[in-house]
Amino acid sequence: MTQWEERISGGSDVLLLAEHQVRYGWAKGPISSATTWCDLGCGTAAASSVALGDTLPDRVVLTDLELDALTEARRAFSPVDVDTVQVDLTSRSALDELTERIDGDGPTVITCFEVIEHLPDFLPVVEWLSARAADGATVAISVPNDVFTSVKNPFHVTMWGSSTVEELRGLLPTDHVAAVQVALSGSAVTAGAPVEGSLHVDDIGAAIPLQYLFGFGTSAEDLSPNAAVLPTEVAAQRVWERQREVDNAYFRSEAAQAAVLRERVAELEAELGRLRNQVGQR
Amino acid sequence: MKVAFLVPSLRLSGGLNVVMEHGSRLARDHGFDITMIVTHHQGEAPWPYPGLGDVTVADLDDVADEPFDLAIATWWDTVARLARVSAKRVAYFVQSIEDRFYDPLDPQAALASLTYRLGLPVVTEATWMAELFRASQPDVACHYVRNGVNKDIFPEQVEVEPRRDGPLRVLIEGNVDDRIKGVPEAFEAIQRMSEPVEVTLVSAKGGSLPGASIVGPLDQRELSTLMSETDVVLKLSRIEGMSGPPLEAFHRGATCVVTPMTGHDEYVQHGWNGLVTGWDDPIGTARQLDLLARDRRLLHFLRTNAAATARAWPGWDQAATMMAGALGSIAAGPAVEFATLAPILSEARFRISRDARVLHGFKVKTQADAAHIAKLDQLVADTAASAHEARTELAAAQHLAHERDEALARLRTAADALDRLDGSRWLRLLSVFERPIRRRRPGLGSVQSRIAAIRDDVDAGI
Repeated sequence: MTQWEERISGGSDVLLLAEHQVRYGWAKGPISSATTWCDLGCGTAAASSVALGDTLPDRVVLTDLELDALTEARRAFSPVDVDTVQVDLTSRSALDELTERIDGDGPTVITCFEVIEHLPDFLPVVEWLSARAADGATVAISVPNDVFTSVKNPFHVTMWGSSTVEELRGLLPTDHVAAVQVALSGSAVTAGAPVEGSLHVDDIGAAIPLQYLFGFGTSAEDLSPNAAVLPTEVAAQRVWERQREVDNAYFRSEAAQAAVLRERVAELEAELGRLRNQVGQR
Repeated sequence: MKVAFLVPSLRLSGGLNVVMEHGSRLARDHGFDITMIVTHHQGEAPWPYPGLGDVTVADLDDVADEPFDLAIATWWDTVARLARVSAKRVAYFVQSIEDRFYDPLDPQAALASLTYRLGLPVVTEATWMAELFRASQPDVACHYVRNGVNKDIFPEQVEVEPRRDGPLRVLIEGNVDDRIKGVPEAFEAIQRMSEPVEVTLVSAKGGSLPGASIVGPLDQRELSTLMSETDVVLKLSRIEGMSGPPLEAFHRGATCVVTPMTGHDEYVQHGWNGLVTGWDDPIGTARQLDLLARDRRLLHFLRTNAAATARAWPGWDQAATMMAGALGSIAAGPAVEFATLAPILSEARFRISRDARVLHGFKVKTQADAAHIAKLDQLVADTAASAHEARTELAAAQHLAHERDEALARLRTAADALDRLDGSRWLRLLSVFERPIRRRRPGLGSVQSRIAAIRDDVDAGI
């Protein structure tokens, strides 16, 4: 189901949260061994704080365009002290200032997940990320597959899909690594206690990518595949599935009435014609 | 960054419109200083493209001393002119593999083909061309940047209204006799349809075709309006880089029936948002059109998905952003020694042109020889006909002579028989017996006299 909730929070749909957590999980390895992690377009950090809460580097720099989101993000990482900064990612001068802010000793990881599609001009940030990778940072980015849904997401300024990704790849450092994110369905048996187990994702080649991920820079090879399994709200899902089923049945029965009604209209029109003739004859 | 696009002219054309859409946005939104350098039709007033005010237009002869960061050829015959522009970097914006537009023996085909092998960094608009360049020159930068669609002129459809009935409305684009765009083939398919159909041909040259309404030339807005009143764009092109009209029609709620022309796979998915028909198959194409005319649910399914494809296609702003990135990357990349390549290209042009002249001489001589041979052939044929006639007459004469000889032989046999009869004892005896009868009937004549008369006839025949 299409989600238009672009600013997620702890109360967001669990699958949406899992989707975000898995992306940060992909970068968890390089982040855990870095001294600085910078997240561009951090939002409320509802997912990143869960995914990375136990492996944060010494220095965390969170950026977003909105101050409210940064306040939420600080709260999400509390009690860890994080540096938050409001940055317009379309501004080259703002990005230059950010460079100075994250510059420091030790490895740096920069994440930029599901942000590029919101920018009217994404070129400055793409070029900035490439420059940071050239300086030794590790970069992890992602873009959505809008083409699959083909529904105009009002929050996306640009539309993304496999062709757009091919265009983007021409702008990234040639040695970048690529990954895709796919949806999973599953089931679990539980006796009340938490369930743990290994996950085998088979036949991934046939799955439609919902997001495209790219990594480049020093530790790009350490970006690691991962998956999250969370209980789904089957009760809510049942409600809207049943509603759709009922709506379909209802409108089918309405449509079936159309032929009967057309027939009745024809009868009445014939009757009306007859009456008009009678009046005319008198 | 100061960028020059080398264009043959700034007349109205699809390819030049693409260059102008990119160029004007690079200047307006990305801080580029863009100059359109006219290489071939210098001094002409440019077509009033909407973005013309954002760029500088100059003739090639007037920019000899002007330095550029990047100069970009946009058509095969502008590549050689790159050498006349003072630029730190050069690139090639490839919209089609243009040697296919010429007869293989035409020297222009060889010249066009040569321009793709110079190792120039490439920006191209379709996957098939990007794959071609990456495979043929893997060490050379090749950027894939799709053409955008002008969403102001071709607005996206949120919902598509079903068309339950009425004739299928088909739009064909191209001039009546344009075989590269497959217009004659499209009409052949239409003529083989059995379902009711309304055909509109958009043609810059006008013309007439039975059963079709011909309009044009149309500006983009007029074309967009027409497409909004269309169910299917029929495009049976043989050569395309990345054909725009079906995609523009997708934006207006139409589907398409197309041949698997190069670039169609950028947006056409058979059975999802359009139908792909075979080459040279007017019957099969007519059946697909008839199917859409009859099965309105399928038509609506394809139109709905075509509109969805259009919604996901980038506008020109997004496309120009990708172009800006590609040009930035090329400008920051290694320089191609075009100053070294230019004399080689010039030498190749000279040699190909010289060989073409020699080839032309051979062609003229061959044509003269062929004409002479044709005359000799005619002479031989005429002589053979005369000989045949003479042979036929001779055979007839021989047949007559044979018959005459046979007749003569028969007459001689008859003469011999008459001689034997004339001298026979029985004839003399018959003469004795007939005397009394002749006396009584003197006009009756004797048998001997009759035989003598016959003998005279036989002798005359011999």
